Amino acid sequence: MINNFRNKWLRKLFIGIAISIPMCLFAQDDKQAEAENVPATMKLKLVVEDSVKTCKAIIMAGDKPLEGIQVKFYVKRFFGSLPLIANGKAVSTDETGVASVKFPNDLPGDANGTVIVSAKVEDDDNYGTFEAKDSVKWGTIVSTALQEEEWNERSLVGSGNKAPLYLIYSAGVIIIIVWGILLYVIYSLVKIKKAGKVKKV
Amino acid sequence: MNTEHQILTPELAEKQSLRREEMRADVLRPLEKIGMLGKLWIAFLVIILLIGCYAYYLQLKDGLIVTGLRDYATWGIYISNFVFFVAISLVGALISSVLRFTNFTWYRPITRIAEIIAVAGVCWAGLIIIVDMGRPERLLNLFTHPRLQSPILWDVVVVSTYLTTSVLLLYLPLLPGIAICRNTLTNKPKWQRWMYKFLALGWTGTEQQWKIMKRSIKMLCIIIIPLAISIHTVTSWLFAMTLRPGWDSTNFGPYFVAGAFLAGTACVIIGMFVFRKVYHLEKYITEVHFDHMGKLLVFLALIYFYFNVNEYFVPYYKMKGAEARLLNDLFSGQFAGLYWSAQLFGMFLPAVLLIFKKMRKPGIITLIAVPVVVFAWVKRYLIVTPILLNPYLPIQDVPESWMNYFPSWVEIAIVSASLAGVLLIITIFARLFPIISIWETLENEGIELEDLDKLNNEKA
Repeated sequence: MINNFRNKWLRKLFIGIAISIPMCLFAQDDKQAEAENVPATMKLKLVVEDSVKTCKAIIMAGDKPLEGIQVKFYVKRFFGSLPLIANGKAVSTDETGVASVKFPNDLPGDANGTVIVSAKVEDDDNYGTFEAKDSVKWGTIVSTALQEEEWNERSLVGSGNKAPLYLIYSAGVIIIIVWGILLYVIYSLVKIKKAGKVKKV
Repeated sequence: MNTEHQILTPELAEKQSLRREEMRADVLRPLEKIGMLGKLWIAFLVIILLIGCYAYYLQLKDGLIVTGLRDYATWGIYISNFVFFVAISLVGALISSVLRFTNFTWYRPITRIAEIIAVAGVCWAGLIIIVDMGRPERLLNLFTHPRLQSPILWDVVVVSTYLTTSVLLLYLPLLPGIAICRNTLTNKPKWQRWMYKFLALGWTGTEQQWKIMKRSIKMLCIIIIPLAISIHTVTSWLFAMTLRPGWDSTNFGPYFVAGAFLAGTACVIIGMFVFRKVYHLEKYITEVHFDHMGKLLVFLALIYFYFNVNEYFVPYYKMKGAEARLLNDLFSGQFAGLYWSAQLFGMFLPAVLLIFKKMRKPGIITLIAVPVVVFAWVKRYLIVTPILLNPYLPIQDVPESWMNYFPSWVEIAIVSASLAGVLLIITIFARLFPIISIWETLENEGIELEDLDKLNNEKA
């Protein structure tokens, strides 16, 4: 009797454990999934700290900072993006969710010195790809006036109507001399024809 | 050659007139009737030309995608062919002008063969460069928006100038020959008789006509030398002005000119052999001519060898970056077979073999000249394509078809048509006009046609 009672309880206990373990596991997965479903957001702050231009990317999932996310920083150039760290290496976010990189002082910007900086997370296991961009006047000012001045100069790399004068004159003289001789020879054909007619007369 | 001017006695004039008549009969005999073989040859060339026209129609319709050309190999056999045609066209200047000013006289019976090769070559050079354009109608932009700084414009200018000069240099010495055709070939169709009459420019051989003609030829002979050097130097600059491994060379101008003279001379040897056999001109194109041309070929092959050493050995010694990749491709890679064959059969062996007098006999020298011409074409291909496939920045992440080049059937058909076109121009010319200059050849024998004409005109 006692044995029967004990066996019943043991069986219930086993069944209970067997049901509760997977339930706990599923409950944990749900909790994690809930955390991952919160999309990561990135803010790009371009600040000057102790005279050092610094690009800071702050990555949060809701109100929680994300640590260990790999962030790459770029500056927009004419044909593509220039990595701010050599070889396009990434910077990890710290426990406050911040990844930062120094901005160089000698990077050319546009006519106002404006550059467009972007921070990018690429193919993160949990949060995928996302980026943030901002513009700032940290670039060196490239004078368009100077460019225009160079553009208007006669040069070998210039447009057709900006050919160097020495090239125009030397080519012109050669062409005139050679074609002058050729035209004279062609005129000689007319003279040959006339010389034949004279004979007939 | 009889260099002393003889006093033309009536007996001597009679003798010289007979010689002239004999030569006239020999030279005009092939023009009287085209044999079955001749007709078949022309039909064969026309068929190849028509196939090429159809291929070009497809290229115009669908664009350059029908070719093997892609983003890296942007120049293929069209441009190789262009360089080859420009190269062979230089021989007109070499034979007509350089030899004239070096006081040689043996070359006179072969001047016309050299000049017609030059004209045919440069005509098709101009056409094939248009074929290489994906949008040929944009050629006009070269003239409406010229850019003097571009080697492309220099090339267009120099090709058209050289073509005009070559045509004039072919036409002027031909005037007495056309007049002979006009006077002799009276049984020809009306259009042909009209053509002779029109082109003869009323040539009657007056003293004034001879004087103007000879002076004009002299002027052309002077300007054609710098022009010939310019045309091929500028063609070489199309490459050398571009920053590419293998093309970035200061040696390119003389290297191209030397190779051109070699290829052109070999073409003339083949032409001499064919016309001598087919037109039975053994009396005029003699073994002496083949012997001299053989010696000339040795001389030119050695000069070309010297430039090849400069062109390949110097970068080989340094083996830097992209240049090393290219040289490995040429010396032991995918182009090694073509490269070494071109060097061996196109330059080295001919130079060695033709040192021996026995090798300079008509048949043997022609057998040696054929591979010189064939590998001259291959050499131009090796100058163009392997370099484009070995740029300074390594080729990465591109479709497989961009990394290799093999001409499509369209390109092969068009290039074959252009080669047939060159042969067709030469064939038709030789069917209508004397392929040997009678007055120049007779001058070589001490007979001045000018004096004979003067005598005849006085009698008349």
